[in-house]
Amino acid sequence: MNRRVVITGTGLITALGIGKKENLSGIIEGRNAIKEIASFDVKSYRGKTGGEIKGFNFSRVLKKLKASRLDRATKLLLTAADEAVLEAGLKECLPQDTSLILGTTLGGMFSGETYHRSIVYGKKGRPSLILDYLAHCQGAHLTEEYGLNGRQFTISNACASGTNAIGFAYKEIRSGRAHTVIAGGYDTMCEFTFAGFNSLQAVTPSLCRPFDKGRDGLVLGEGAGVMVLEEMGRAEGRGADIIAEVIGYGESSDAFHITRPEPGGASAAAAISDALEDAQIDASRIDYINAHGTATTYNDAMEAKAIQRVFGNVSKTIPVSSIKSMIGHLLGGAGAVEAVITILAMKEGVLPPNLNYKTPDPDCLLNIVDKPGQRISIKRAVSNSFGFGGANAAIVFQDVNT
Amino acid sequence: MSCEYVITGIGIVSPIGIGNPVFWDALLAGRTGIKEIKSFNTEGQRSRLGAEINTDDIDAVFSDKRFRRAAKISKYCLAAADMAIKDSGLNPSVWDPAKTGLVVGVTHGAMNYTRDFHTALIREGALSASPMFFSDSVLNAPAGNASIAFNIKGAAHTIAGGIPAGIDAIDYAIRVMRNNNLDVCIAGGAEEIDALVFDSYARFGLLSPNNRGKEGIKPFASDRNGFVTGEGACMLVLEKKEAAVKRGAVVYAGISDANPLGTDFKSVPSDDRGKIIYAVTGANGAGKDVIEARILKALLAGNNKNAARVFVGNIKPLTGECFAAGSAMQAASAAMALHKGIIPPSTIGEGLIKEMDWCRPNTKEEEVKADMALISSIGFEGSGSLLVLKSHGF
Repeated sequence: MNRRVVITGTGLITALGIGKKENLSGIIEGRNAIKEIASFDVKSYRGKTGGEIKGFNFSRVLKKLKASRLDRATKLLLTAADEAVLEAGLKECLPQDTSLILGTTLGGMFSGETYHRSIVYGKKGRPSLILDYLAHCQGAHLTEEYGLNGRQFTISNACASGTNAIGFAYKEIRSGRAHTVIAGGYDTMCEFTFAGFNSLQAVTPSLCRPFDKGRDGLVLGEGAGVMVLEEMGRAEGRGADIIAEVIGYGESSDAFHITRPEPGGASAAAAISDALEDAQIDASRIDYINAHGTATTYNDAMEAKAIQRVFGNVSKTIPVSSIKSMIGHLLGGAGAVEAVITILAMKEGVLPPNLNYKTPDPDCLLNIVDKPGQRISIKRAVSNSFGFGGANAAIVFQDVNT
Repeated sequence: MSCEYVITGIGIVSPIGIGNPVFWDALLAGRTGIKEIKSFNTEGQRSRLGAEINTDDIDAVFSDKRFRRAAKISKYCLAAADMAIKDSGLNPSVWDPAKTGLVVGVTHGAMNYTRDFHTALIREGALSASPMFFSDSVLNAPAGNASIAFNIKGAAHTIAGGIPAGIDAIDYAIRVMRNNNLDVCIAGGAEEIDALVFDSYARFGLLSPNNRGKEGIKPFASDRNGFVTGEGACMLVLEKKEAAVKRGAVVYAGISDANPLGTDFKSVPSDDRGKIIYAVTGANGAGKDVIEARILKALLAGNNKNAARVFVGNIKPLTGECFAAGSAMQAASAAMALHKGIIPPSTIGEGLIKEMDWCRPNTKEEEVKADMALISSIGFEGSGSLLVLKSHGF
């Protein structure tokens, strides 16, 4: 028997702000949080901008961990997780067997960079940084701080990781193998990745323009998105406020190329249609698509084809936007942050805008949300994520009042 | 206890041999792959040993020019997956790619490329960083490459974890098979040796000989002095039992439906605890041997009336600590032991810590038709996992 899976808490930290309130006002206004990178020198790079989180002082009281020893990624993760757990009303009563399913691409890259730089310069870095660098250690730290002993997985499927984590959590609850899951994704702004995407000529020297004819690359961002997922009966039983429901998830793999997506979008379309089939709803009942929309030539054309394949004629009318135009691409955190923002938009009844969209591209003919502040009832929304290595994932959320 | 999913193929790239027959022979012979490290200079280090793979040996097993510039970890993973698939008798050119999945557990990932990319960035600046190193440095590059090589379109996942990541990947793969209704999933772990990782573990005091004595892995020994680093990959083919039996596949072992959550052995049904006759442990002579010993004692010696008959093995004195690949190799060795009815001689020696006082290591190989086997693994950061395999012959 399939159980219903609800979201009872969400937490968010992005360049738009710390916490959901700041992020929501940013989405309503269509605030551009992309600025020149401040945390490292960008003068020799083609692209110079990014979605960095400013004014983030991690002042949380820690029961078991030492703040000075935590990677920036762990701090972002804990900040978003705390907000989600608080909203879920589980701060003091989080079940010990709560599972933790996270997505990340870089893990503690900041620690890795720091350590390696010190070694290259002939100094002695703190060797335990090697542990902080590993991608599962941020989750291990959260487990330790929260005192959890449930199943823990860190999924690293490049830019699809965050959606994979939430989708996997949903499937585990639906089948009865878990009852409460903290799921999400995170990544930090690091020079390593910035240099990497620059070396691939994937970073824009100007603006992040998803789906626009003149798009010429992505902008990186940082942050974390976390949600608490629960089996519906259990959430209702404890009188929790239900924010939204997860009703479908689909995933696939391109088996095509290590960095380029399969141009026809067949495999990405399979993930989206699997998600709709899993949700048992027709494509016409989707009110909004939160696109992966990286603003690279390849991704957006592929994604538009995938959406057209699945949604057919309706693809001309369903509003589509990529919030990467506001906060940048959060890699392993992208899917999770975009899921939380999709849910905020659903609750608020507002479409997140796709900034910098001026000239339609015949390869991406979709109904792009080109202006902020458009009010609409969103009953069901799809969020897409696609990553390096050909990882595709799509998830369907539904408003509780439908 | 039933098993809905079974292991029908094993592919191993290990320091003690490439291919599961060579690996098995080395386990029976107690042949170690630990030698002087050749791939980088260990001058100035107290530790000199490692368990390395000769990459030329890999090219002889699996060669595909699309991946000739891939990182070592990807090459190990590709070769192991290829051997596992061939061993299972399945054929990627005829399987339904949408019904096939892949889960690769990794610990450090493609460290050599990651380090080379970052070194160029630091020393020579932004424009010297190579895009090839970058795209193959991401943690999911081995899974991405393998999905391309073997036409896997159902799902391709990478599980990042500590030493247990290889068995976590197997557990995760079973969950993904159920969630996505997949027919086949290739799952395991991969790891490559790297000078920077070696150096940091040495300085962290985890590499043998960290304080005294002879260099080498002595699991659970009172005078253990750290681990020796290794590398490789181990991939298993997982299938629905019904389908495997129907097509007449060789079944190595089943994966218990009631697998423990993390190291919470209480989730193993108490009836089953008494049926575990063989434990392939993950202790590596460094950080967490005592913690693992306590868990094993409570699980296997506590209310197990067969405690005196429990065989306790450990492959690490032979293979070195291969991290994510190592825990998958543990699972492979347990599956082969169940299938063959033979328990290899234990590498666990004399002078054990008191938490292992119940353990009587077998010095010779034993013919034992074990019903169930346990794989245990604890990471340096304290996260741990257990996996229970069941003999298919019962």
